Amino acid sequence: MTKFQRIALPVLLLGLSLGFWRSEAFLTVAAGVAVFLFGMMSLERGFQSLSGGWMEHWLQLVTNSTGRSVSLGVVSTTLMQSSSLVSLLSISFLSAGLISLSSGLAIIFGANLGTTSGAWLIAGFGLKVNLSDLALPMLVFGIVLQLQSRPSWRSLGHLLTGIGFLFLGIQFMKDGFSNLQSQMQLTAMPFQGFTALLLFTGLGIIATVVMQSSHATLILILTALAHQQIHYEDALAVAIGANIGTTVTAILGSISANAAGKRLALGHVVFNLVTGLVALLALPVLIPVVELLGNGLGIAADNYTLRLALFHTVFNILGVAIMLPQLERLTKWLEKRIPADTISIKIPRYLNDAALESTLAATSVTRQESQRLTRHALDIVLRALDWEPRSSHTGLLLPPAKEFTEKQIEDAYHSRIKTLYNAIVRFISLAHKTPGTTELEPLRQFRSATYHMVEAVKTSRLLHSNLYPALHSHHHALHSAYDALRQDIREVVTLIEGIIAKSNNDPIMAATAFNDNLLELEHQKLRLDDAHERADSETEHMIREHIVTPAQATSLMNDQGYARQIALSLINAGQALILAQLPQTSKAQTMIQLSDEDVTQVRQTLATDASEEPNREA
Amino acid sequence: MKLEKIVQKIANFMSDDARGVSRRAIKQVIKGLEEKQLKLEAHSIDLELSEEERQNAREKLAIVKVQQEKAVQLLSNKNNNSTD
Repeated sequence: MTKFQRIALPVLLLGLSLGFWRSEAFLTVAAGVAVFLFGMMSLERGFQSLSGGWMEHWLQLVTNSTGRSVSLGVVSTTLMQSSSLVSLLSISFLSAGLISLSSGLAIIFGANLGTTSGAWLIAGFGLKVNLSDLALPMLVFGIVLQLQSRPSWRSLGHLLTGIGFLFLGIQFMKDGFSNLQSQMQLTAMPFQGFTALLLFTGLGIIATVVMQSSHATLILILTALAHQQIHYEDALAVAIGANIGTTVTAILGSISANAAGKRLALGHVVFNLVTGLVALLALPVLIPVVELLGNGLGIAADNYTLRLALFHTVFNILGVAIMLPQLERLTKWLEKRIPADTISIKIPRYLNDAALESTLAATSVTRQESQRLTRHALDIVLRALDWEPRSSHTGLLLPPAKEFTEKQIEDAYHSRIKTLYNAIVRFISLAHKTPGTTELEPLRQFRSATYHMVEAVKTSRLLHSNLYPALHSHHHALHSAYDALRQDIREVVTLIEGIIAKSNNDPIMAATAFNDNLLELEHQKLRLDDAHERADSETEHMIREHIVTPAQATSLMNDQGYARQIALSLINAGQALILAQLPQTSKAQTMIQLSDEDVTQVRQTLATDASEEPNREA
Repeated sequence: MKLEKIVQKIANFMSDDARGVSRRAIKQVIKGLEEKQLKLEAHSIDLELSEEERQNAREKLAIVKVQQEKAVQLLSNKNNNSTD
């Protein structure tokens, strides 16, 4: 808690308590705001878990088309009635690299337009009917649905209770303001002209920052306006202030985001500040324009609430009209202003907490970071097996110029693997706690994949201590035995490299290839078992023939065990990497994976078939 | 239907939901395995392929058959759970 918060919170609570004690009407208005905000939270929660599919699907379709991005911002904000949620999802998507900065900015522009629909709904409908008549049944249905076990019913329940509480909050505010008339009048304030405008703009900013919802401020001011608690011009200034204040949610949401997310949040601030400033300066012109448009639309001259809604729409359209042609310039300025994140081998490159806002973004960054860890892990395993990383030209593995020592393997593990692994595990745990993330099976698989990769690296250090001297000795039999061990591992490494390469391809093409890879990995289990049995009998032969000493033989047998462990860890990691990307069949595929007993059964079947083959031919 | 059966049915439904393995997913996997089986059966006797490739296909075919058994068993367990 900052020093400001330490002072501000008691002051706010004391001020509210004093207000409640002095005026029951004020208590009703404040309770209305509280209930309204609670409704917003419930609505956002419902949308986050329900919209997991469509919102993300739409966001993916946006690609780089500005028109589609603006439309998406308008439509999604109109439907969800929360520009903050749309902003947070956009930051989340941008920080996961799923959309471009210019698309993100265009969505934010659209979200500002979409947010104007709330004012229209309240001014045109909410203030005219008794909303508590609608709110109460909605709350009952909502709670009943929330008690269901199916997630979709629960989400719908959150939506209904959210809307119910919104309506109830508005009704409280209406009742409160109608009683407040006799006690307090904002119209009686001694400020006039530009000073009053600045004051009310500031009031709008503060109210929105405190409530973290421009909607709440707008509803409050519309209700106050409906009860002649505030002058029309002053209400317009509050609406402008609310537009500026709403950026605080994006700023807070971007704190945990990477540079891309921060750029979008700053872009949001720039857009809303410019729009607000233009609206404030052009207010003397905008008021007659709104009057003219209002008359054209048939809005009564004394219907100030609908005129406020119209003004809100007009100045946001003006903002988009001014800023949209500057989109490219704004993008470049933001990229220059906030430099890209520094890339270090020791810190996660893709994971960032802003991505937790959406399942798709969270899965995407986890996939990228897990693949990064996998590449590092394969590199260390190959070096531990005395190979240089694969040449990009020939694709061949070559012997290194000098030994990759045990100490270097240990250091590489700590600097390149452990920190990334810690970050991935932490991120996935946070995702499990975040209501927005619903489909967690892929994340579970990625965690499993990274766990097995870490195991492979750790075991490769154990194998290295005997493998390196054997590969560089003149003992031909030992050299061959250890070379055979590492060849088995190399085949699995090659398979996993292929899996990572395919992960970035077209999903449908990748799915077919992944299914083949799954079988290939199962086949490796079988081959590994064969190789292990062969190596066992060869070692026994070498002991019998005094080719190796018993001490060398037992070390070799231990190392055969380590090699098998490495290969199996890599196979498990590869399977998990694939299954994370086949979420629909992932669990079923996991359940049909071959166990040790199954591998034995397959080998027996093959042995029986092989022995029957000559008989059949005969 | 007896109350006990209804309760059992609900319990099975809830446990299926918790495990998250849908019949559709298992059927999809079985279909995929059937396709693989046909392909591998053809490869295992294809004389245009080398002996090593044919042996590979035979080994993979044996794996696919075990997986098919497991998948069919999984589906049958699910069906039994919901009809008991």
